[in-house]
Amino acid sequence: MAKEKRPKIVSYIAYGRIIGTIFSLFMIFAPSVKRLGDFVPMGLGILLTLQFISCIGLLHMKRWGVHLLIIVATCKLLFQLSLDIVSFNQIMSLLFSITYTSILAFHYKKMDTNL
Amino acid sequence: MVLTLLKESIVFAWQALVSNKLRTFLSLLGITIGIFAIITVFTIVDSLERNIRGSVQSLGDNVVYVMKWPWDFGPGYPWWKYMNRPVPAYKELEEVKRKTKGAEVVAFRIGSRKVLKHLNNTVENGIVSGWSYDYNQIKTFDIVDGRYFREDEAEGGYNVAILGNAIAEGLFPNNEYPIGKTIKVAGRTCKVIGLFKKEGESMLGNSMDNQIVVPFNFARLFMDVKSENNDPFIAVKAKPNVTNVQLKEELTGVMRSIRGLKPLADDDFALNETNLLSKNFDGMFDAIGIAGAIIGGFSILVGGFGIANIMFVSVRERTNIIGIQKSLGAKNYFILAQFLFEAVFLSLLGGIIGLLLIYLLTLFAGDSIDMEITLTRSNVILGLTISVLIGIISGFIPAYGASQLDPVEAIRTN
Repeated sequence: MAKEKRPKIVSYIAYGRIIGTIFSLFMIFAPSVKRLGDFVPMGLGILLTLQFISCIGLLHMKRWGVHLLIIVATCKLLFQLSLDIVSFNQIMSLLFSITYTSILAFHYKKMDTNL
Repeated sequence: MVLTLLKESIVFAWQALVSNKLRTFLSLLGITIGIFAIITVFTIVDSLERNIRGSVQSLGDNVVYVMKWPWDFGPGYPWWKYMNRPVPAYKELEEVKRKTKGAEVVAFRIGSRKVLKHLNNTVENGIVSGWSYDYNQIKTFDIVDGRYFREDEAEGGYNVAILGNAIAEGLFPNNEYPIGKTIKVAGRTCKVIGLFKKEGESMLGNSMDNQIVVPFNFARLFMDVKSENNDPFIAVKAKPNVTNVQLKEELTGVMRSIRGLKPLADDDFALNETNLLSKNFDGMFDAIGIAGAIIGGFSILVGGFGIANIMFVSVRERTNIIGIQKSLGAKNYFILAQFLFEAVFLSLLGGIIGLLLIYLLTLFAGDSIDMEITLTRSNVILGLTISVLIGIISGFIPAYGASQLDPVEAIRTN
């Protein structure tokens, strides 16, 4: 399968999320997150790592990148709901995720199905 | 099948690490330093927090202290308003006991530093605390030898004393048995009837180790109960079904009536509770934790870049091997897993070494500063989690790049 040229919007989304993920990693160490439970920083860290991996998939125009991004966004929401830490920031983040996903869905057909 | 592939990936990764020992060591050093920095800060902060919370808890969760000065140490503390307030008096104790319906226990405490002597042994600045009998139901403590004073001893102002561990060691060196011996407290003879359990250093300075407790009616013989220097206060413990808020409301009314304050006059007393202290410390610990997280976070980030760099080199070096593996049928995910495991191994090994160093540090530090410093389970989990995740994040790009290589071009590479 010939490699499809990556649309600029996909690059912006992927790079934006990578930078966001790296800065969000500091959240794992936040005292407020640590106070929620011994395994909460671990859960949050795993979600952020998967988000980072999904962005690499997007940069390579892979469909699994979109799938992983949707799964991570859903898991993040469920995680926050289970811990009862849904705030304005989280709702905004969810809205962003929905927007990203809609944009990515538009370019989905151009993406590669392989790993 | 998957397990065999995983095993093979791990073996390949392990061989790559072992064949470049110096490079492996240098690249995991970044993560070791990062984990060491961040988890050391968290361990120290957690230990200090535990120590302070323990000290605060020993003052009682459901206790309200009637004092001159409020426990509010924020900026803009209007000390000039509180300066001319009277100190709580012992005569107010009986009235508070009688009028406060929500109180289970009401007690009085006074204390100041005095010289303590036993034969040729002297303890300068020992904290002598004069407790009314019921204070033992407010302050939590353990007596390892002897007993607490009886009610008749408290009421009659008997010259009996219970010693803290450090005081006992100072007055009775060489493991001499203190119970039943007489000591001099501010020049007055006093019989030792009990010994408190060793508590260790307290961040609030309220460890029983440096205290000697005598009945209040004995303490008042050599301490001025009206002097602020002797820090007198009334402690009121709430009944089980009464909240601190309810108790404070009731106590405000009781104290105002005792002191005959007019309706519009300000309170001339402070009602303090331990959660005021906790709140002050919460902010401080959060700030230290965040500062530590930022410093440690950047160290780990730098360590992560080091691992990513070494993984790119590793992929470059083994490009033709990757080509051969792929041409022999290795799948993309096998190549990906192989390099990813290598990065995670490196990072995890660095994290484990960092945690081991912290563990050794806690062993030595605990002995030298007389405070329990423990590497907690949550910090170990956090340290290992960060190591693995940094390994994945820093290793994924080179590993994925390796998995996407074209076998023909990869074999051709020198």
